[in-house]
Amino acid sequence: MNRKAQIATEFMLMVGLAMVVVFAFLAVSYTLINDYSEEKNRNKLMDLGYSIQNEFILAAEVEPGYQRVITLPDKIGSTSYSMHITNNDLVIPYRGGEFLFSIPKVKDGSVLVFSPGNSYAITTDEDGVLINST
Amino acid sequence: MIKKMSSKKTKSKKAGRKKNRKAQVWISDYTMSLLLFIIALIIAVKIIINNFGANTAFIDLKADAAKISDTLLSEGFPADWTNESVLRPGILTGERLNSTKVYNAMNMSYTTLGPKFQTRYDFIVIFQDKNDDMIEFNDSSDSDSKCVIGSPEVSINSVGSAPNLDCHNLELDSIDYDDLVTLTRLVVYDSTIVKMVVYAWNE
Repeated sequence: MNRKAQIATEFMLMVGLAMVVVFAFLAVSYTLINDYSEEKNRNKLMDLGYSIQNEFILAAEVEPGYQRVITLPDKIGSTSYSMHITNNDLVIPYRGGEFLFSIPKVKDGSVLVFSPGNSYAITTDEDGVLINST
Repeated sequence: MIKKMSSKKTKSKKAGRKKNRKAQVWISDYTMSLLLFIIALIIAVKIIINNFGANTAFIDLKADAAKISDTLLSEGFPADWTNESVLRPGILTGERLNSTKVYNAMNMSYTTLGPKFQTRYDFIVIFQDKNDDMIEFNDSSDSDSKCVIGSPEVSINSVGSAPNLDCHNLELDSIDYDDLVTLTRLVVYDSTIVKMVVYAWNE
């Protein structure tokens, strides 16, 4: 009778220890995966910012008459985003912070707030770069 | 009586040995299985970390080194950029190395340069002559000279000090890195062909 009870206690102890190890593993895995996906989101948003920045710089470099239409993605991975222009900077807010990308001055009357999923025309004339929604 | 006593003693000894052996076997089994389980977990964690991090890092690093060299080997934007107005720090003017732009790029802070080159990795760029000796660039008044664009963490084997600085080579042992990419491009400078070497690394 005593031996049986002892086995049950030992079994519970064993299961308990194994559970502790499993939970520790899950906690470490969760932190790693979370950090990784966070970094991936940041990198994707930065890549998007750099791509748009390159489009604006290209438009400012070329001769008047240039026009190009860009379509913004609905989401970056599974992350929603927003984008706007403030003081010659393209701004992408993310989790209380902001990614800033310096861009050439755009003409007055340009669209300054961009909506994901929409298309925008970047046009260059003698006076500079103009951004319109299409 | 003596016989009975001895047989009782033997029985109890056997029972005790049996009991101890059982407990010992259970503990060793348990210890072994727990050990194996922990080893399996450590291997699993290592595989997860490697799959998430390392595989794409080297490809990204190579792409970023190429991007840095492409950006440098352009006129930059604006074409007559200064450290205040620069959006893209290209160092060419008319397909040739412009020493003023090179010095300006060398004079920019490292934290400012990273976003301008659109990279998240560490980097350093040097220029070498045909003898693989580093080339120094002076400011317009010849009061200062520099020989690298990028990370201030890398030690440089040099003699003298600005404006008579003479840089020889980089000491890459001074930095810790997991992957290091070296990219060499040729560029015309003062009617000679010099090497532009881009080093990019991750920690």
